[in-house]
Amino acid sequence: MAYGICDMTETILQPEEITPPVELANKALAELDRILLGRSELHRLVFAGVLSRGHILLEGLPGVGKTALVKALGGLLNLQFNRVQFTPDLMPSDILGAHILQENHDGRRAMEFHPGPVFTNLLLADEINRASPKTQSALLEAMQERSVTLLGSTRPLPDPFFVLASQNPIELEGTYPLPEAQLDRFLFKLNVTGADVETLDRIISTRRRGEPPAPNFVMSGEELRWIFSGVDRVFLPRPVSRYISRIVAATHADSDEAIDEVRDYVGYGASPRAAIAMAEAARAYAFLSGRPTVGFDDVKAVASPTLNHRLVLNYKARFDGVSSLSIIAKLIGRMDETGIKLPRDVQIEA
Amino acid sequence: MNSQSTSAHHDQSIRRFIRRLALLLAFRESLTFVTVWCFLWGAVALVLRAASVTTRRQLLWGAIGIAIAAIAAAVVSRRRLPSRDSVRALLDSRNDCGGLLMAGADADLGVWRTPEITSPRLRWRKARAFGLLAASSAFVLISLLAPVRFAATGVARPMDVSREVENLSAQIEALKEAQVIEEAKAEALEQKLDQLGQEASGEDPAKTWEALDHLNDAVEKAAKEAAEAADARRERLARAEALAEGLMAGGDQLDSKTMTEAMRTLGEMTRKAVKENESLAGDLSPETLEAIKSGSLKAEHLKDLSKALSQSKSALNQKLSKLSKSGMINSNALKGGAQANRRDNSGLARFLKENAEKMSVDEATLQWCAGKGGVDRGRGDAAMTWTDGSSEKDARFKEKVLPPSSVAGLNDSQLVGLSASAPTADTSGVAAHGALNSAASGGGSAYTQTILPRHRGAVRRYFDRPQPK
Repeated sequence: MAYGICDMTETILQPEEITPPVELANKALAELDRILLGRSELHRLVFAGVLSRGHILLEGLPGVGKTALVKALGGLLNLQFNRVQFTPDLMPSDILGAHILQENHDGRRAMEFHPGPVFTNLLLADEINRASPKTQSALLEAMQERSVTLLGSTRPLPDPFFVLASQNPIELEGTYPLPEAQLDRFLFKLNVTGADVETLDRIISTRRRGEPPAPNFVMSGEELRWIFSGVDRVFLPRPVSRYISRIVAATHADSDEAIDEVRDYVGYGASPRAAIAMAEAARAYAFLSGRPTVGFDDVKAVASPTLNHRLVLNYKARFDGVSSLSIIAKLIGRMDETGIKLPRDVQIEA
Repeated sequence: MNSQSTSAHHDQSIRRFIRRLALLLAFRESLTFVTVWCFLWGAVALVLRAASVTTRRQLLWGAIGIAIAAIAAAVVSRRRLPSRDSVRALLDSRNDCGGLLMAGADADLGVWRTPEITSPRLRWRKARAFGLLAASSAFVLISLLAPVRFAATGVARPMDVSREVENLSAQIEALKEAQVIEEAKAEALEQKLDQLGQEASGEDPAKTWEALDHLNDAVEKAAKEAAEAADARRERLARAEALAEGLMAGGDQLDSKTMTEAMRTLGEMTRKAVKENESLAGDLSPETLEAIKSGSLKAEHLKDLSKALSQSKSALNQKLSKLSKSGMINSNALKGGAQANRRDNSGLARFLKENAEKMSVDEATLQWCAGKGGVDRGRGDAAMTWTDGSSEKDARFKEKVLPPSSVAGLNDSQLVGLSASAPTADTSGVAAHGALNSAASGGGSAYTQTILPRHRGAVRRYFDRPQPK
């Protein structure tokens, strides 16, 4: 065996093992679709991100339902949920917590740690780009290490821990764009777009003041961990892992498989963390489809939200109005997933 | 179907697809390699043939390269074959297995079953490959089959003058056969011709053509000189024959002195003819030869001599006729010709008798053979005189009245020269003067108009009067 993964799962998940957790996850997903109308694919990706135990950055105009989505997800999962409204004067201690001098019952004073809102299972970082870089950086360790270190002592965060951040792509005055190091820590960057006419009609005709209904089903932490264990056992075949590696490598201009758009517009490609994130997200996506193995289509489905925020485009791309999403779409479209290199005049047809 | 048999079935599908792909790639690579080899082979063949280094047969060994190229292509194509994992991934992707088929290679699928696997089709756009192969094959064929003069570009590029050399050689051979030129001269001409054929160079064709022209002139000149010499011999034979026939027919009319001179002259002529014509001596009987030597020719000797001379003359005539037919000489330009062949010599004795005092027998015979002349022109060597020229007195042109248009034309004409011929009246240029020029006499019409066929119907309808019903 070339990879340790195979050693871990010598027998892939059998139907009787995968079906119950998948049904539970899809039940939660269906409930999310019921609460928030018209965004099934976005919900699926958010849920895949959650099952991958990754952090998600939601980007969209005000009022499109970013916060509502996170709140609905928090209500659906029976987890501790905190919301922080990021503002320019927000300090790191406002998120992480602080040591406060307090007098105990015997009259002695001591520094006592008061945990901040980060000590939760699901943290909604609303309008994260309005906070200063110092405050944004306070989340770096929490997101990556899932722990907080203050005054030399490291405190682990509850398990599971997710950050679901939102940001507004307009009103850039007085905002601080997220640094690449922090962006890289988000599993997905999902664009939340406006609803179509049909959805809007359903919202205003069925929802008073647009308030979503209360969830009829709540998933416990134990159930979520059970689902996690199922996702962990989804088998990643070697050709698929190689496909992921090739995609990530091809986002670099100096790669053999880089397309012209990458060479022209991408300053810095995706990191190895992107490959890991894509593999995990693809597992979760395959799991939600009830499959015990990851296929190429799962990778294609999660490639855009995984790489979207990880490509650093150059000024030429901005000048030509080229977006990361369009480059990724072309890259995925032109790359043969099997890696079979045939002469140009020989083609494999279905 | 259990897990193991499913796996075996998948492995079989993968192997089958790889085999198909290998065959296709091997064939494609073979075409490419063979195409490249054909272009190389053709180019090398062209260069070697141009340099005249090798023969066409040796170049055919290049065909072995086709087999080698095909084998090399098969080996190279194996490197292009995808791995089994890649093909498994391909089949998984094309059959929407969702990774299950790929997972089957490394893990136990348990109760999971993949859907029925169908191998994808392979499509090869082969038009270009076959087109290039056809082009390269054509190039090889052209390189091998094209005449070497098109391929030869080297310094020693020969010039093909074989046809001209053959023609000249045939002419020399004809001269030799006719024995009108000497053997040594013919050999010298043939040597020059061979040398010219070998040294003919495409670098300087003008020089070759000039040399050929020169040789052609030399052959023609030799033929002409030889023909003239033969004609002279024929004429001398004819004179001897005439004298012999004349003496045979009317020798009794001559006096003894003239007869003796005639016999001596005939003897000299015959000896000279024998010297010039080798065959003549064989035609004469020993008695005749002896009589010629002694100057006592009798009637039977004269008959024998006349016959032998006639045979020699006929032989010469045949030779000259051959040369004339081959176009090397102009038989009309020869002095002898038909005149020497058809002559009645029965009156020569009387001519000798009449001119015995004026000229010698030799001169008289010469004049006799030069021709008796025609009815109005005298002998061939007679002076040409013109007397009683026609008078121009009372000679007038016949008067002819010219049409008015021609007179009008003369008024405006300009003198450009005078000619001695009678004028011709050109009636084609009559001017259509006058309003009634085309009016029919007694008719009511003053003007006629030619109507085109396509308008006739319209005109007839215009003038049609409705008939009262």
